[in-house]
Amino acid sequence: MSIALESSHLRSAASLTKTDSSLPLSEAYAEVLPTGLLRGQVVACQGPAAYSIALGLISRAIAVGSWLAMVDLEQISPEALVEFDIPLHRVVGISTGDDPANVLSAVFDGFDVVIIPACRYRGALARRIAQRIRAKGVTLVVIDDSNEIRANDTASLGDIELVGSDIRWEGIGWGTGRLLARHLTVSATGRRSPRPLRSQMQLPPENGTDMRWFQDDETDHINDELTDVVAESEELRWRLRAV
Amino acid sequence: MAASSSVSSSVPRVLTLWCPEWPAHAVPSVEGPLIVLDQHRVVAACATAREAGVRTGDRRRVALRACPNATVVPRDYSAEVQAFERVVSSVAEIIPLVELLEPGSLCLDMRGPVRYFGGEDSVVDHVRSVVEGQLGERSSIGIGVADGRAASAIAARRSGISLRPVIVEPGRTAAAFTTMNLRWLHAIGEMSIELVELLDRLGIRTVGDLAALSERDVLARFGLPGVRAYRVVTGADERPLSSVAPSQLPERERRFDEPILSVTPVVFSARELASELVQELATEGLVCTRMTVAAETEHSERTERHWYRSEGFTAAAIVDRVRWQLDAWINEPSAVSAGVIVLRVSITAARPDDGVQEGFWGGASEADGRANRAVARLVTLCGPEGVRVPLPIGGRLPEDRYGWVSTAVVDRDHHVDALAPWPGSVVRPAPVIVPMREVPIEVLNDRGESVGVSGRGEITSEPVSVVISGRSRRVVAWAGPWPLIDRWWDERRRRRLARLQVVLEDGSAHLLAVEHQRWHLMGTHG
Repeated sequence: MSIALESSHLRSAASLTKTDSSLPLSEAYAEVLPTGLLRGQVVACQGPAAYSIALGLISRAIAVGSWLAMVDLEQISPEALVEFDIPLHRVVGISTGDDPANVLSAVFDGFDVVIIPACRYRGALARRIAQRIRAKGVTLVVIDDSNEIRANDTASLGDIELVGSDIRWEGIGWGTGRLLARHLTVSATGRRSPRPLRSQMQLPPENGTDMRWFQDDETDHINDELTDVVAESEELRWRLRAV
Repeated sequence: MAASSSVSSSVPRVLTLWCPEWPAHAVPSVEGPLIVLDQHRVVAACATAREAGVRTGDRRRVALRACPNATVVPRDYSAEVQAFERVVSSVAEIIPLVELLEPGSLCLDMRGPVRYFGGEDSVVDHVRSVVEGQLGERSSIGIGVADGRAASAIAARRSGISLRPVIVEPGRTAAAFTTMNLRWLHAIGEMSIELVELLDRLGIRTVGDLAALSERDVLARFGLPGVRAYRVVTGADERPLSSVAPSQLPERERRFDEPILSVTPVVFSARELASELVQELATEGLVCTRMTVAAETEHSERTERHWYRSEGFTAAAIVDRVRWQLDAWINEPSAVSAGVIVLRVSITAARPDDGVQEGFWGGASEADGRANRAVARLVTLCGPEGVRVPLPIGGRLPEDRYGWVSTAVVDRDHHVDALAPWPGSVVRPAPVIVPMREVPIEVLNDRGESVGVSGRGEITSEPVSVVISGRSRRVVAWAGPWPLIDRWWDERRRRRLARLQVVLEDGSAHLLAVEHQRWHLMGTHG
């Protein structure tokens, strides 16, 4: 267990020295976003599960050290953040008031990941925001939960659009049971991917199965190193005996 | 004094003036006892409240239990500085080089005044009489004289309790404070509370205990912060002498083409100055400990104050002091008659940064620092209520369990994410969207009538459709109802309701509640 802890430290130290072009992503999303969660990118989440898709998308990045700003989204329950394994002490909620442009540019200076509602990402302001986040390397997640059929102007809401469909709720019947888990298909469409990519996932993730802190190959690497060290000391002991 | 001249020591003699309970002094007089809070903790209280048992660091609830009829006010730094300004200027009239430590506390170098007034006792008497002239005879003030700033700050604290000036002979710091608790070093900002607690657990509780160790051992076990504390208690210079000549220390000046008539824009440009200065020092591995803030108006009115902070100035700390000073200056009657045209911040002392380096292993990372700076800036842009952090609160309903709390009142170092179990709440998954105000909805059965829940917690008919903000959707699955009677003992806040989970035709799931026979939306699994 302590080895596991060490390796998460190693990761964070390494990530301090170089600025990665992408943020860590949970495995379920790897299929829909093969390039990872890029900095300077706008991801729009749409449909009835937009909020959950957005939280699942960014949870891993926040868990490993990035900070999250939620702009004008006070209706999001912090309890849901906890269920998505997002540490609350790296989350700040901001209400922009009358001067969104100024406040947003201050937000982009300090946070790696910013979530805003679609009503704050429209028209001229949206263009300014897009320029700004590219310059600052911020990942912007736009939540569009409006149920209207999308008009032409929102077609270019983000570089990538994630939409949930085929939502299935487990555990609830007709007057029986309770909500247990939601399974859905998330499909990604973007300017660079003509064919939508799809992935089945469960949101919020089941406890501890989906959100692993680091990938297996890293633990393997550390295990290999450890076996090497053990083998070396074993060899030394034999040599000493021989002496 | 003969003694001070015979000891050849590099440590300067320093006088510290400390006004106990200054935050309470600055408050306009109120009826009855008074308690001042900062970030939910008591920072000061009047004598009556103290006698009732209110202690510094108590939470509001604990303090009010000790003294229920007290008036509780939040801390107001600007008012404190403003109230302290007359003390500072009266002392500065007899001894010019006064350094402000914080509102209610200042210190000065004794070298010059001792020669001028003839002896330390005489200086102390003079300072005491001018301060009493400002604050009144009966006011309690602490004056301490000792080797170095830290020791004299401790002496002043001690004098504030005994109400007699405390003069520690040169080289006798450790002996004078030997029985004092190490928490005092935390109170004057020379030691982190973590280190105090660690030493306490190891049985090192008093200044004498710490001074009895050897410096090498302290360094080996507690690192640089430990050595800093050790040097304070043994009376050695608390800082190695700075290798930087004062002329090489940076200075920044901002001239305004248009005279500025309010404090806020000046403070805003101070922010730029401050971050430039701090960055410039940081590239040399230095941190500023003493600085001079000066401002001038079009009519050549000037304010100039020296500020000292032993733990070093961060950019935010510099900005705070600029704001305090300008506030006090502008509110002084007939001090300012025109707009500000120059603001100057000059660093007058710096030391190697031995303390917090921006993180590497587990500590504060670069991202944490960046976010904290952004939060500070956002507070000035959106106001303290516009920047909030999520906190667990506790309750059975989604809207009660967690809350968004203004970042100004949150102790950010202390974080708890998880909530203790609350029997009676709806279990995981929690609704993602919890409406901020009540959203009335309709829950209808197959005849188009409203569905009800009986007093026994039974549903009167099966829900078939739900109307949320004018849009009707078919129910595909539902569960419940789960009745809840919350806070039945409290007449005003009691609630009696029943909850229902529904899944609608588009796959969205909602938590609904019926209260007083009216349905509303409690949360959405968005």
